[in-house]
Amino acid sequence: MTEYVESRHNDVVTDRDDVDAFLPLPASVMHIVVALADGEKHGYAIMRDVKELSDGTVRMGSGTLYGSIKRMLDQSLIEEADERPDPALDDQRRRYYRLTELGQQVGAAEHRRLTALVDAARLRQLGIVPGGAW
Amino acid sequence: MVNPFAVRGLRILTLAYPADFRRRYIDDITQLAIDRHRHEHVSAWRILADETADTLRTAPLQRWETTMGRIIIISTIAAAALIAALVAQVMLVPLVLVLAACAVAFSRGRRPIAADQPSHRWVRWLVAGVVALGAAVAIPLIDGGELNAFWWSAMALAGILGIVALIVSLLMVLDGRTGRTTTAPIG
Repeated sequence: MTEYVESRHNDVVTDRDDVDAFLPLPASVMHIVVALADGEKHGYAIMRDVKELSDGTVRMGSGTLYGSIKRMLDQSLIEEADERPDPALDDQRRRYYRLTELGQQVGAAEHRRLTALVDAARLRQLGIVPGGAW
Repeated sequence: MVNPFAVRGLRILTLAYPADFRRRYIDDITQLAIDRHRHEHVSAWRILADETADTLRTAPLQRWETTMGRIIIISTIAAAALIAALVAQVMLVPLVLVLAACAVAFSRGRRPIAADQPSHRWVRWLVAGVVALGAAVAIPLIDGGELNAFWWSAMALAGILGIVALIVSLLMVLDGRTGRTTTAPIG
């Protein structure tokens, strides 16, 4: 029996198989999904956000960033918003991106998958040094 | 003020990407580099070095992800394999290389959102391949079996072009039947 996933706003009903087909998400894509989770961003803001979220360990070049953005657009995980300046930077017009309903659902599914994995690692005490903190 | 030579170098670097990707994102890529220079105070040449490393890693993958890119790469490998077979008379190794290239091209799963529009360009390539191979077969018959250097070269060239055209036609058919979009899966 097909299981359906309802969006938060009950506007889009997506087949769970469609969502699960995207999993596991590559790390670069999941970083972009997380960066866009709190609102629209342009490319430089996404890059900066990813760097901050990863404490500087993940740095995307423009080829990696826009290659992932292009694929995500083709797969309808994100969509282009408008072009407008970023008042925090300068008056240069920039192209903004936002998550689609499908992108939100896929991001949530990936979050659940990663959480289950971390919980399993914690249960098996992975990374815990005997007799002390890890 | 951003170093104009570094900006020009960055724009030249984007030539490594497929044309449609470059047209769509070249301004964004340039603006990204300018933003890093202005707001993170990274030197222009350091940005260019970083982007060069990133391009070397991502541009070949992007080329591979386009249908025509895969066709061109595999056709080139096939043509080189055939030339090696004719020159070195080592048939097995080139055939293995061609089969391996085809397996790599189509072994990864695809998750299309919408199926491709049906294309009949493969028919043209099929016809061209058959005609070229027909010419390669016909040449010895016309010449009575004794080939001089000119006819030998013509027969070899027609045979190679015919096989390449048939491979391209087959790849187009396979790509169309799986209902792919022109992009690979994410990542």
